[in-house]
Amino acid sequence: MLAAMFAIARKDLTLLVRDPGALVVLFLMPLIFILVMSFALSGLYTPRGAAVVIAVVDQDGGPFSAALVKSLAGSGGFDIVADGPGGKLDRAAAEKLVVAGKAQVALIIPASIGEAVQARMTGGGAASPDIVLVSDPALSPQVLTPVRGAVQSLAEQAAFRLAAPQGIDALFAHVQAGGASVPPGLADAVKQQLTGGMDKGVSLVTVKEALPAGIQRERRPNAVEQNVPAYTLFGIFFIAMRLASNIIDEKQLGTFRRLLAAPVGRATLLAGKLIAFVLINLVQVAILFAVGVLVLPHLGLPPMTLGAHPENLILVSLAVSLAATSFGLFLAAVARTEAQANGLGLILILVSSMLGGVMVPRFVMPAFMQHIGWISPHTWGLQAYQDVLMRDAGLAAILPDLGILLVFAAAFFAVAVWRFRWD
Amino acid sequence: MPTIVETVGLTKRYPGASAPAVDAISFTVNEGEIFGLLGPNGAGKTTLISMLSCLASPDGGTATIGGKDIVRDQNAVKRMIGLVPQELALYPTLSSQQNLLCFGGLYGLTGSELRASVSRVLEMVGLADRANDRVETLSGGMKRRINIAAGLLHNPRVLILDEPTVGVDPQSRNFIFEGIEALRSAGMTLLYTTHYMEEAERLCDRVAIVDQGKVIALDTPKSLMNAHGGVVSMAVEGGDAAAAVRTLAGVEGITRASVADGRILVQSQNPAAILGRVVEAATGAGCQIRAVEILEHNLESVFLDLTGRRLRD
Repeated sequence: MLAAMFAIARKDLTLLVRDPGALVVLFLMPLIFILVMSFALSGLYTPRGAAVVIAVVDQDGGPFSAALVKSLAGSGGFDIVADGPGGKLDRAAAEKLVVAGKAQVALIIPASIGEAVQARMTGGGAASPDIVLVSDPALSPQVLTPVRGAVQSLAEQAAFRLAAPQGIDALFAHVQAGGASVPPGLADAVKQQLTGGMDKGVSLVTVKEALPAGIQRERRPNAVEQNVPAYTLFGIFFIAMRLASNIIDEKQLGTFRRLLAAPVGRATLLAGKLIAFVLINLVQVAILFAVGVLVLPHLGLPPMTLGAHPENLILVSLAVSLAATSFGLFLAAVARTEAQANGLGLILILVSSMLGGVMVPRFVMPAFMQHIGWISPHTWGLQAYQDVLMRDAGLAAILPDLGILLVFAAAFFAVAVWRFRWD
Repeated sequence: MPTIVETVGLTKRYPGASAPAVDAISFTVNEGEIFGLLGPNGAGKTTLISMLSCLASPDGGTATIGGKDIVRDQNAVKRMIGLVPQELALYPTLSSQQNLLCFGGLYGLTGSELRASVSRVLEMVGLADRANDRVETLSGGMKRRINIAAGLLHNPRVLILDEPTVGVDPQSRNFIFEGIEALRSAGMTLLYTTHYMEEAERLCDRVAIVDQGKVIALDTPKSLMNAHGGVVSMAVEGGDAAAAVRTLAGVEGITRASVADGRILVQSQNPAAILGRVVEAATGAGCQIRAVEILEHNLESVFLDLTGRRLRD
């Protein structure tokens, strides 16, 4: 049985390698998509020249927040929105602006942060409350990181400017109250030293990141992290049409009768066929991911890593490939001609790819489209790939995705066996 | 000689067809003989072979090969038979050797045993020097020979050949015939379907004549020809052909006379000798003679005599 399976697999591999059309579709096409789409869409995932809009919620209302907002506005590169239709923005209104895409970030300056900063300077009081940055979930790290850096440093600056002089005055008041004399000019010198403290990493304020209420945090892919797994997946599924053509060809050639006349079970026969095509899929994945990691960064595109558990990519690829090859058997079973198999295959694969976030990432789709996307095997495959590549997912984290891909595979296989015309 | 193939009332009806493709066919094939299935295209030969190769399941009757039932014991049956399908069932972009390695692997052959088997059959069909050429670059006759080689890889007890000489040049045809006779000498049983009566006459030990899903005659070619003799076939128009036939029925040297499809068919051991009498009878009955054909003592005339039709309509 193994010899028979191996014989079929080897034969189908040789047939595929000798078919230039198949090689173009399976290897060149996804590669071209990855390159073109990564360059074309790199602007979608990375910052543009336009100013970042920050919605400011000033719960402090004191000199500290006034100084911070003023320096943010004066730094260039940020547009500050502090007022809504109903007067000053509150947090909920600012988050709404973020969710609606009218602001990229909401800056929440908490109440009484000014007093807390002063209290710390004089050695009293607890840590000051956090400044919170609420960001658009679709915002790429390339935008968020500089905004965070700017807010952090400008807030430190404002805190030292505000608190240090008062701290120094208090210190000297204390010394004088003790009866000792302070030489004139010394107080000013200390003031200057202290205001320089911010350069040495002394921190009076902390900045935390948050998402708008009710939205989960997820790391967003860059153009390469999106397009490499997406179009690899796209290419993997194109194997289905080759598999269907292969079987229909065999029927027309009459070689299928020969295969059936051999003492080989029908399951062995189909399994032998799947082996060759799954192997081709794995080679596709290896080549396309290698291009993503090793070649694309040299072309000026963002970097991509294989994550902390690259071995899981093999499992994901196997599960995706089983779904794709079983889909090919399904096509061979329901189509009577090669043209039918190719037409039906192309439509189903394109629709499934669109719903699954291959062409357009799912996180930019409206909620109802994201819900419809769950019926696409591409959704689960892409999710599993990106979990491994970007989120260092271990086996446990991708098991549900693998399970659902295998359910797709089993369903396609079952329909294929049920509808298959053996004569 | 022991029986190796036996069918009893074997029947196959395709859905939607008005008549069964194979209609209660019974025959036995002895070990070591070349058994011919002779009949026109569409007679049911390929369907019959498909059932014997376990590619189609019968709707009625039974069949055994080497004592194994073709429905219950398919793997054992498949191991005993080698199938040479009518179409060139080969992968055109693979070499002859790669094709044969694949088909040998299907029968569980591996490693040196597989390679030896491939060399042996390439030698047998005289194409050892073309082993590495892609099948698509071979001539039609060479492809036919590789097609046959693929059925011989696992040394089957019964080789089933379905019209193996269709579209073959005379040289390749002779090569195939010699190969088939060599296989019989080596003790292999061959089941050979054809619609060329010369092939059946030359090769077959016994012939079953198949028409419309039924075996209408079964014997050695010689006995069949002796029983039926030659035929005078005369296409006529007008007049009373039936009256002409009645006139001829009692004539000495004529074993049978009949009318079918506007033809007067007269059977005789010596058809040329009675031609004059047939012309006389036809003109006497007012018939106009359009064409006359004399079919000598062969399976073609047997088929015509049995069915009123030619083998190659």
